[in-house]
Amino acid sequence: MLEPSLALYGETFDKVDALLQDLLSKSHARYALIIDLKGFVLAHQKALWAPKPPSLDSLATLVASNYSANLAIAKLFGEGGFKEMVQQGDDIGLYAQELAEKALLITVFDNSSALGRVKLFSKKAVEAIQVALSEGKNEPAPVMSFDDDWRDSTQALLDGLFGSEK
Amino acid sequence: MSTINFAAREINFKIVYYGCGLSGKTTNIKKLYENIPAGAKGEMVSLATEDERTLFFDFLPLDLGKVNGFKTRFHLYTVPGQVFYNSSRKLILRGVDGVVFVADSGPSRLRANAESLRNLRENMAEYNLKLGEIPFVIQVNKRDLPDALPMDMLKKVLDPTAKVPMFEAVASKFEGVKEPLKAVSQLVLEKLAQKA
Repeated sequence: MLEPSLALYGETFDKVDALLQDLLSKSHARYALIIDLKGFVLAHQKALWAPKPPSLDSLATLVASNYSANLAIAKLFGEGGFKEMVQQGDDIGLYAQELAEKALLITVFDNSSALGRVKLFSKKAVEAIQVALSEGKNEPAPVMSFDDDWRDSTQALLDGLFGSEK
Repeated sequence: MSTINFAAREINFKIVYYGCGLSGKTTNIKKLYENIPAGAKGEMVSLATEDERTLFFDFLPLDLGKVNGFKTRFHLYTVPGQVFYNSSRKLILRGVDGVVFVADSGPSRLRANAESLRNLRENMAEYNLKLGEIPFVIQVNKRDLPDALPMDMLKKVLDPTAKVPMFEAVASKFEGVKEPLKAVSQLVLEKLAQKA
């Protein structure tokens, strides 16, 4: 079954998008992303002043994998999990925390912001996003059609990318 | 389970390359990265040891293109094949939509292939998944070895019921690399269409 990891569409998505922008504004962080635990990016924002981010696919994959590995470590010690992860380099820091059990909120910041500030506003953002998700639960999901046209189109794309020899 | 992002208008799938150590999983991904056009691929990520053995995973995002306004993307992963990295293999299998099993044709690797397949079934069971229920193909790699095991022998061990699509390959020469990926991608897309 095709299901979104989080119900991020319509008004809910707009609210969450605005919350990510607000997080960047208040925390002075560079980038904010919501990713699912498989490593797919669900939403992202960049501060206007921030440089172009690195590949978001790579970032999401690595953070999700890191989170999974940390979860396995936590279980070795009888913990349910480590709810947040902090990575700090000379210039860049990354703060990740659980969101709605199915996703992570990642905030990437530099020396122009302090970790404490990032943590404070990230936690507030998580709470606000969870409220938005809860309020948007009954929002009807967009309908997608996977009819013969869709099948033919995807087959054509596969042939184009991989060749049409059988 | 595939991930749909309505806001970004993307459908994302996860394909995992599985198999015993040195069977050619990373070689598959590297050759795909070298040969797929720039617009259809993202950056490749490899977490490996100093001697180039996969430590955690390799990752390559592929962009199939747009259908009905939605980008269809595949995220390819390899697992570390060495026996003692089982914890990592379990983590990488999370949310898998399709599997390419890379078998080694080397004469001394028959048991390792069988063990890796057994390990795959065990790890999938932890996610309540059965191998027969998700898109699954087998690539029999290293067919250029002078003492490569006969295909019949490998088929009997890896797919005794003869139900799984099987592809011969020499991944190091980019032969037989696209075909299993295309096949598993077709199965993944077909499964999505059937279940939606």
